[in-house]
Amino acid sequence: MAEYADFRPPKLGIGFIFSAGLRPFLQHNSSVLDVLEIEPQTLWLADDPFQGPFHEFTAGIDLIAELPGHKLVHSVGVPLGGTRPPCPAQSELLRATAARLDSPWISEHLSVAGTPHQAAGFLLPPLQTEKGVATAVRNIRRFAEMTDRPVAIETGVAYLARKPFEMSDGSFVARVVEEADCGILLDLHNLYCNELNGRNSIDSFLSEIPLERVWEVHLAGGVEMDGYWLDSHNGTMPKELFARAVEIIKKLPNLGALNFEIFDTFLNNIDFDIFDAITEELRFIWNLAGSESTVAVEIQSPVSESNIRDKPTSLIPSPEEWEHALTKSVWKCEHGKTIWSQDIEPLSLYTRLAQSFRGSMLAQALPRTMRYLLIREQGKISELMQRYFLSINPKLYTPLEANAFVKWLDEDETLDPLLRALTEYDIAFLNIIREGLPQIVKFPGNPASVFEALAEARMPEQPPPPTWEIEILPDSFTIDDFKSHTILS
Amino acid sequence: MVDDNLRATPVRVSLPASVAADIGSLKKAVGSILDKLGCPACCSGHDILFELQRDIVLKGKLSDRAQVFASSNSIMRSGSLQNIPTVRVGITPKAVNKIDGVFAAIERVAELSGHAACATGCDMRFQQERIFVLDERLGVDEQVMTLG
Repeated sequence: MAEYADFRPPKLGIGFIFSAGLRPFLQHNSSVLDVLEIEPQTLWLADDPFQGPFHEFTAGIDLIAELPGHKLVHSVGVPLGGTRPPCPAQSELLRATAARLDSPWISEHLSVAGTPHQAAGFLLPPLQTEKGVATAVRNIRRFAEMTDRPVAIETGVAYLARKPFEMSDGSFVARVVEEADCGILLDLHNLYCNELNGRNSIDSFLSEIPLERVWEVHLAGGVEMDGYWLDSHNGTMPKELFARAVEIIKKLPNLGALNFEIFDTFLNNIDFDIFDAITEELRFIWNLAGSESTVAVEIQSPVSESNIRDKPTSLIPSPEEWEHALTKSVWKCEHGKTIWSQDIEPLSLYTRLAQSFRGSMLAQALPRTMRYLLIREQGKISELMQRYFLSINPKLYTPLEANAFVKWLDEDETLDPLLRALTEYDIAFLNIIREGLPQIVKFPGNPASVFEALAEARMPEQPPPPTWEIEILPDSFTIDDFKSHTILS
Repeated sequence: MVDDNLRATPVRVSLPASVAADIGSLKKAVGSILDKLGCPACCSGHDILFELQRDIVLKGKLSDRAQVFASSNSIMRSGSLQNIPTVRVGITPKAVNKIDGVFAAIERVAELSGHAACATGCDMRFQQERIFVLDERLGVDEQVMTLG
């Protein structure tokens, strides 16, 4: 493993997770942020979500490189808490991106994303046992070797209750980072969620982790749903979280960056005043970083294995069993089969959240198809979507999800002639990017009236003949724009 | 009376992806560009096979995409009709090199290709679409919109 024992992050400052929705704010005030945090996988194409090959939209990365401020790479596709080892192809592309952007470290989630061969479609909590520690440590070391950067692991949100055989959240993180010799991306909103949802208090967590290993902090806003506070990145941070952050940040001597997370969907809905207010809060907090770090922080000893041995070992799952059970439960909605009855409710929540991401991917990539289905199916749309979600596993990347959905619609005999034409029209754009070739879409007639009806939320009538053949020509970006950094696994 | 053989002949239109993606994307007024293609013969079943190309002048913003300029070129694939006015559209490399252009491209890439960003909450796009379609237009109660 590359040795980063003496790594001390440079003091980069405050920033935001980068998305196209930041454009007006950067134009409004280009110097307000010190850091842009990049999630590279959001600018990739993938032929297979696990094995690749993966293709980077290099023009986008080049643009980001030219924007003012420091850049940090935050990976969202190689969570390090499960038995799926870090993918060499993804790691190589991340290494190249981090080198180009001069990212001092790379962060990734201490979470589980499914089994080695099955995506859950959502970040799930890791198994906090000795075997879970060993699994995460192995992954982090491997990831650091392949990316050739110091690695910081992000502390996650967990809507499940901690099991009696598990270490506390803080002990688990402490064990992992000490043994892997890595940094911590302390997501305070995740901790805030865990506290509000009754899993673990923030103070308890902080008392157990080595605060000098915190290189980065995330802040965000959330929302309440079904009795849970969600890490939904949907706007300003709660006032209570701001107050807590002010105190916590003083105890972090090696903090390198303070980044705010807001989802693109919601970034579009805030104005300059709110953006300025967020950045002022971040600046205020940042200026206090490490100011009380001389105060001794009592690090409690992590829970030892002997504590865990008090529990019947037959009830302690292996990391493989944990991932399989969670993934199947979330994907297949088999919430009632859990042996822990208190998990039924949060597992249902996980399913709902995972499905919201899949549905939103489809709404983005197949706007005409989804609009038509919503109008045609009306109250039955949930039933239709549920059949799809249960039949087809999550594909993680938008084109893969869109193609899987259209194929399923065909097999489900859901396509009528008009819907078939709309799916072909939507898929044509995905094919152009991937193939770089013109696409011909057949429409049963003039599509103008169909598009107009969809825009007005009316059920379109099938247009009269003749058939229209719409040839859609590549003209903006295609696979060629992704080729300069394509990594085969 | 319209000849059935002519009626069966498909109308063929070629559009750059950047233009075609906006048509019916439901972000802008839909159908307007196809309306403007407007060769009346298309709708009366004549044997028309034409290629339409368009020129877009970005002026730094892909949102200016709707500015379509007629050109004097006539490009006929079939060669049977020589004087149908055509319009050419393209994106200049300079425009894509501009920050706005690449920002817009990044937005499109994020829509059409990428891995979902990191959040352990929910993505509201699909629900927003449902509310837009059903609640505002058809007056269905919001409870019906719940996904999952």
